[in-house]
Amino acid sequence: MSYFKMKKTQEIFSQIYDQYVDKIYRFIFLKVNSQEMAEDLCSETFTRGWQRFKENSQEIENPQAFLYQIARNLVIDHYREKGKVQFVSTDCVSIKDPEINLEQKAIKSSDLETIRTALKGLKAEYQDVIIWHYIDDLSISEVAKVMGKAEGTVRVQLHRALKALRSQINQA
Amino acid sequence: MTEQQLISKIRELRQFKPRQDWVVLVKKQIFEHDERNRVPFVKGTRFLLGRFLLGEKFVFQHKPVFAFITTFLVLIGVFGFAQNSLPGGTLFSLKKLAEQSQTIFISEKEQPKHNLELVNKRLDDLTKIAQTNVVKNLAPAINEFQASVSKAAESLAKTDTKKNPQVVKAIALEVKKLAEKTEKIKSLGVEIGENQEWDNALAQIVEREIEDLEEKTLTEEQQEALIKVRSDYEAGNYSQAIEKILLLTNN
Repeated sequence: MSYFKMKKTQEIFSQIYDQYVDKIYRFIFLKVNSQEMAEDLCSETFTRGWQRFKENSQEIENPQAFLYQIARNLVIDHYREKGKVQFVSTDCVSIKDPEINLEQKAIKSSDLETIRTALKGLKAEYQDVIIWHYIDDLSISEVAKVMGKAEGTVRVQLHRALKALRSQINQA
Repeated sequence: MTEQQLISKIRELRQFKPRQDWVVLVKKQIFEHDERNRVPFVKGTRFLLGRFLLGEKFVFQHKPVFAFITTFLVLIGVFGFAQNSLPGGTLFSLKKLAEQSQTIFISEKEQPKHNLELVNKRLDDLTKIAQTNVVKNLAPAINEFQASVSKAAESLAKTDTKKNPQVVKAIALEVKKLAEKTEKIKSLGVEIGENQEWDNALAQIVEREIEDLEEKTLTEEQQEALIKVRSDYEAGNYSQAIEKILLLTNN
């Protein structure tokens, strides 16, 4: 690849990075145990994404779906290779919100952790549809594309995922 | 908890965000790795070839073809440069290789003339070396000259001058040049030695030509010239004899 073409490709991927790094990080963070692990896997996601993007950027029609797919596979590999079982972690990332006082912050943080813990207790596919649709604002058709499933199937899964999540919260 | 409340709580998880310093660092690392692996020379050549001459896409879709063309051009360049090299020089073997490959395309009839031309070239090389006083190259140059003389003598001995009378003229012209150059090189103080094969080959040609001329009807002037040829032959001055034969047959 020529110097100029490489620079142009870098610019495009740089924009993709800026646009999706928060989402990809969050997607991974909600599925793994620690901030460090989320950072490592997110960094690996974008490194692999860049390697494939610079080789053939034209093949990648939907960068978001492309990155989610890499991230999803990396999380699966992470648990498979380490023989780890997804478990609920009590470590918490500080959330900056200067508008609320310490008491409110503690309550809010506790609520967030409850949801996060409940979400992590779900099976991977339920986690994915909830994160993508409700947190990352992907439409049903976009989720269907990322998952490689029919829209109807995604709707059913989303309904079941919410039901399972509610069940997890109630058990907590 | 209603579904809307649940969804609302799920959406609060959007607050989880990566550290900004980490985000900047990772982006930098991803692209820095590539920058380090880039080769400036390749960048430059691709830029010139690709952008200005033929269009990047075209060039890099045909990489093997361009690699072959580049190699071919480099070889031509090296062989071209080698043409100025002298015996004892690093590229002289390439020059010889080029000369030998030319021999393949020359007919058997033209071989003696071609070999004599090569002898003349080696004498030119020797003269250059003697004039520039590159002493270390003198011995290899003399060896090359002697080798070329032996090869020329061999092809002269095989030549049937009766069948190819035109070749005699060409040979005579080359022999004349050789005699002049030999005198010049000797005047520079370089001893190039004698070559018996060469003398024998020239003697054979002179003998054949004398026999041939004796069978022909000659004018008085030509008969006198033939006597001088015989005299040179008997004195062992074969180069001079051939020169006179050339003059005689041209009249």
